[in-house]
Amino acid sequence: MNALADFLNSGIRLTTPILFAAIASMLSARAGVLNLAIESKVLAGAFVGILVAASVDNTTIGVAAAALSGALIGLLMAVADRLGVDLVVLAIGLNILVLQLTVYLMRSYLGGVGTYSPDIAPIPPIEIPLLSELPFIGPLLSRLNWIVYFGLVLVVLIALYFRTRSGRHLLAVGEAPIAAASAGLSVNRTRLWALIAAGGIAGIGGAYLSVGDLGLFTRNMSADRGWIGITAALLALNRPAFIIPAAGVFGFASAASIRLQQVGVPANLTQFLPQGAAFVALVLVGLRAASRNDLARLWRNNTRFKLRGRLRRVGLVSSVPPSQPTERVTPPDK
Amino acid sequence: MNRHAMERVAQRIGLPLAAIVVALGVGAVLVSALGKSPIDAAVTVVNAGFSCDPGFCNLGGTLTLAAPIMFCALGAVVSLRSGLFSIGQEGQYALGGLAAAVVGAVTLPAGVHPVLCLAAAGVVGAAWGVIPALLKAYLGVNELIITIVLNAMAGLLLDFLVNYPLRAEASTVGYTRAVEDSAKLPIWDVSTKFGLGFVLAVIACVAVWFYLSRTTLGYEQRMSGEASLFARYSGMSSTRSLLRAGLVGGALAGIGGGVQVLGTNFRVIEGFSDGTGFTGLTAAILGGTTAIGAGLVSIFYAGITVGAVNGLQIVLGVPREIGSTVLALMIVFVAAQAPLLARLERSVARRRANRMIERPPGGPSPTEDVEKNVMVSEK
Repeated sequence: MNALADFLNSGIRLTTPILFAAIASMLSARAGVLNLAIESKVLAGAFVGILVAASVDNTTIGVAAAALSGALIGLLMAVADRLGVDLVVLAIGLNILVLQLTVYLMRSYLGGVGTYSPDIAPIPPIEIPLLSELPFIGPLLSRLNWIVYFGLVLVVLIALYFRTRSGRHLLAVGEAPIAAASAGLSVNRTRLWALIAAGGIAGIGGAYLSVGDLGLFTRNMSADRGWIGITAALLALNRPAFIIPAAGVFGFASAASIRLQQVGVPANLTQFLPQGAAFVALVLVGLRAASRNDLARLWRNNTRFKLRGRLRRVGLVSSVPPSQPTERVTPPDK
Repeated sequence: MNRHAMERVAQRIGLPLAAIVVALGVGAVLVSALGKSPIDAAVTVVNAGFSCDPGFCNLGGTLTLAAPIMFCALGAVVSLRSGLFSIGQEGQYALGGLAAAVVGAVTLPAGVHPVLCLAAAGVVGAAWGVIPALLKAYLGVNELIITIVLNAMAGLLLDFLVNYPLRAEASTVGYTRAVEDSAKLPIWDVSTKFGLGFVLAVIACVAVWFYLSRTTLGYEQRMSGEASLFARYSGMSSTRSLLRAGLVGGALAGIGGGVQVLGTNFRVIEGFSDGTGFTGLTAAILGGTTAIGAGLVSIFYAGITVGAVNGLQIVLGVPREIGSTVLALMIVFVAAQAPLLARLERSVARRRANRMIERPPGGPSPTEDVEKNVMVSEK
């Protein structure tokens, strides 16, 4: 029983940074930007977070600084987007840049070769008065700090935001930028804020790794969590409703891989499963889109043109106006 | 070559050079912030990365390191030029290397052994590379996104195979059996492992250039990538071009992995997928997605990496990450300069058009010239 609670607990803790990265990816994707620089934002957040937290001796300020650093990269991307820079190339460059620069700075100024561990305690977990003493719930909820809960709340907030006026505008900009622009929305400004917010969120995810969980920074601390977050957002089809389960699949697969390894199940194989699931999800989405397209074409080809021609040929509707809706015409038997 | 064309060539070469110079400038600032002279650092990098004296040839090490990067860069060039924006070179490289290691561990006659190994690497790379092309061509799946997933899958698959079915012996890090001596590529300089691998990479460079620029198939591929409507209107099949791009690009990156295994590592260790494919992709972008440019930039990359590791870190005590930092900055600046180039060209065209309108009467009809010029510069 306790082992199960332990497993769930570590699953939740492994999910949290992925969840933040996935939210960031979803937010950018829904605003119409393919944001591949999440990895760099997570890593920058982890680095800046622990650095600031250690220098002011306050974890909350550290997390805020991490969000700021991520947002700064987001701002950089938004400005570049406005100039017409290829964001994919820029993102690839940024990912490498942050990875190398953090190690360079760490080795130059912080004295560590692979690890920087300042004298700072990680963010204390939240103790919920009554629940913490229950037998199963207690261990399940132990060691979870405010960032974990904040991530869950954030998903709800974003789901609600997508239903507000401004959120609808963001979705419109993402779906059909030209239509949104002609309706008077500012595509650039919407994307600017989406990218800044996504950067901040990814930065908090990074801060959870360094300030929140371990209280130290290691080389390449994000370890592909940004990319996994992007994949998780894809698995969730970029919908807030699915984002927690999708991120959870990856987080719990990591947690399971550690435990299953002890009974002889390869860790890589366990981690392979969610990636495979994401792959299948992408293919299914493609299949659905392709089949829809084909059906639409089938319908058009078989109704509007041929049918009208056929009717005209037999002299039934010699004067059909071109704008006559054809949806009511039954498709020919196939 | 008229003045117009020369101006454009100057811009095309000048701005990437400017990006490189600015990136080096930022690197110099980072180095001088440590209290080290940037000039010393530059000299050290060049010495450690590109110099060659009879005792120890640093350039050999650079070229050895460059070979797999060149192959991945060429794979990226073929994909990008054909309109397949695949970033899957990393996965193709990893699985190609694994295939070469597997075939290399089988006992085979000496002459054909490396050929078969590289062929296996190419086939596996091509099979992995054609997946995004198939999905894009038939299902409209975004190849960029699917290659992210494919890279992760390849990395995990490789680590699994290396740790379990193909594991050589019990140790803390999983690795495959070493390849047979008959499968190893000839090495001419033992200390730096400089050998046939780099020569193969150069041959591949020329071959890709020839394929893209001088053959009908290559022309079809470039047109499908750069002017897809024109290509379709002229009867070229964009589907076939895409599939070919996936196959050829994947095969090249896969052979890159094979060259690394047969020429340098001789086995595949856990974590073989260490970013070489990504480095190749960035080299392809920095090289203007041309075969020759990508090859030269790959050598440049390898030289800076070797120079930073062997020179800066060991001689001057500057962390070696400065090399990759400067390289990443180059990518960022090169990405930024493409729209700047477009803006510059537009403003030059506008100025020229204005000059023509202001030309005193008596000359050729001004409006006609303006239109012609604008049309030329819009290309």
